[in-house]
Amino acid sequence: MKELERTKRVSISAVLFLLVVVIAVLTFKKPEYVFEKSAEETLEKIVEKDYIISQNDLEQMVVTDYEIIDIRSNYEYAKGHLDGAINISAINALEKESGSFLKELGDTGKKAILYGEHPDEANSAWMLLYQLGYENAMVLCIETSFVNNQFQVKDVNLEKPTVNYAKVLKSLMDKEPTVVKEKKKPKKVITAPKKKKRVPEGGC
Amino acid sequence: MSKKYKSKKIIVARQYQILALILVVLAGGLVLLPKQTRSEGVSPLVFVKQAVSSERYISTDQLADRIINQDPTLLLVDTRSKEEYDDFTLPNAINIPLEKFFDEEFNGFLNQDVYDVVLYSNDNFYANEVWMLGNRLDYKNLYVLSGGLNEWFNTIIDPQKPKETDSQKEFELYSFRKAAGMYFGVGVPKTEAKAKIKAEKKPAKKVITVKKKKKRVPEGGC
Repeated sequence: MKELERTKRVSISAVLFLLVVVIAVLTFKKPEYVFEKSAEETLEKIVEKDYIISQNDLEQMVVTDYEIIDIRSNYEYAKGHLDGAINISAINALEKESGSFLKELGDTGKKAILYGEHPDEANSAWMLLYQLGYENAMVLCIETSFVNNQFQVKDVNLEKPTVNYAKVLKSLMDKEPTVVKEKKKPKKVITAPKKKKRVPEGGC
Repeated sequence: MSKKYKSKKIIVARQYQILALILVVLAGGLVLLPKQTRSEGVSPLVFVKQAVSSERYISTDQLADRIINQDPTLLLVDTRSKEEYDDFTLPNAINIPLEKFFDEEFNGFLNQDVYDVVLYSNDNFYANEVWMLGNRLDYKNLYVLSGGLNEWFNTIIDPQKPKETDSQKEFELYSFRKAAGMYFGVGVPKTEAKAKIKAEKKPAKKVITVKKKKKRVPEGGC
């Protein structure tokens, strides 16, 4: 009797074990998107800054060598966009269609030129794509806006200080004290003539 | 009795053998699994969601308010180069250039959950890149100064005077910025300087009256 129980226990546990294995295999799902580049590799690439191009650089490239991608929302894209640009908004970048599209681009050796409202946006999208392993993306350094029913494009100087901070701050600090000093002098002049008055009064 | 026992022992052992064999086969299966790159940090989906949202931006007015109120949880990080940092930076900021993001001495500043770290550069660009790297590694409490130092100078240090037709709010904001600018070392506004000069003139008048008292004495002698 005891031995029977023992064999039962063994077979039950064996079945349970196999069941767990089968369930694990069935429910195992490979994550659709995995970062292929580590953060360190990304930083190295970022510091190089060779993936940022200006409009002039773009004009010098052969038209068949690249595809312009507008990463703004559908709505903004519909209002106006660069000639020949394709709309893949940043939020939809991880959808299957855009993924396969980018892969095709990479296979044909074409560059994907990203632009958005500001280079910051395009750079965020670029960082996403680069870390996912799409190395053919580039950032177009432009600012786009929609003013007076017109789509306008402006070149941007990244990280360029508008003023010399230290100088401007110093000039703003120095301004006021000099003004005060200049006005102190006339006070002395006022006191001097009053001294003269004393002399005739004393004589009396 | 002893024979029976022996045979059963073998049967049990066989069952274990089969089980062991299954395990070995399964273990062999592990070798055949496709090689997967293990990636640190958040998943791409989370990365995109956070990158698209503008929650990370803090305005120059908010930052000025927090600095003036001496918020103890605030930590300013200048992401520009060492030279630029030495030339000018915000009060009490530390310098972590973009390329030194992974230096161990700085890791304690970026990867923590005590301070609200505000990253800034001349505009948004470097600060944003640092933020994106932090986002990838799931660092908490990282913020970006919207517009960077350029915006800081346009709003806090040298604000534009609102037009007369602007709303009351604009004027309040302007006076706040003016006052904040004084906190950060901009000279006293001209109107106040004039008031000071007037105040200084008064004691001069007092001197004159004292002298007049002296005059009275010789008059009395006469």
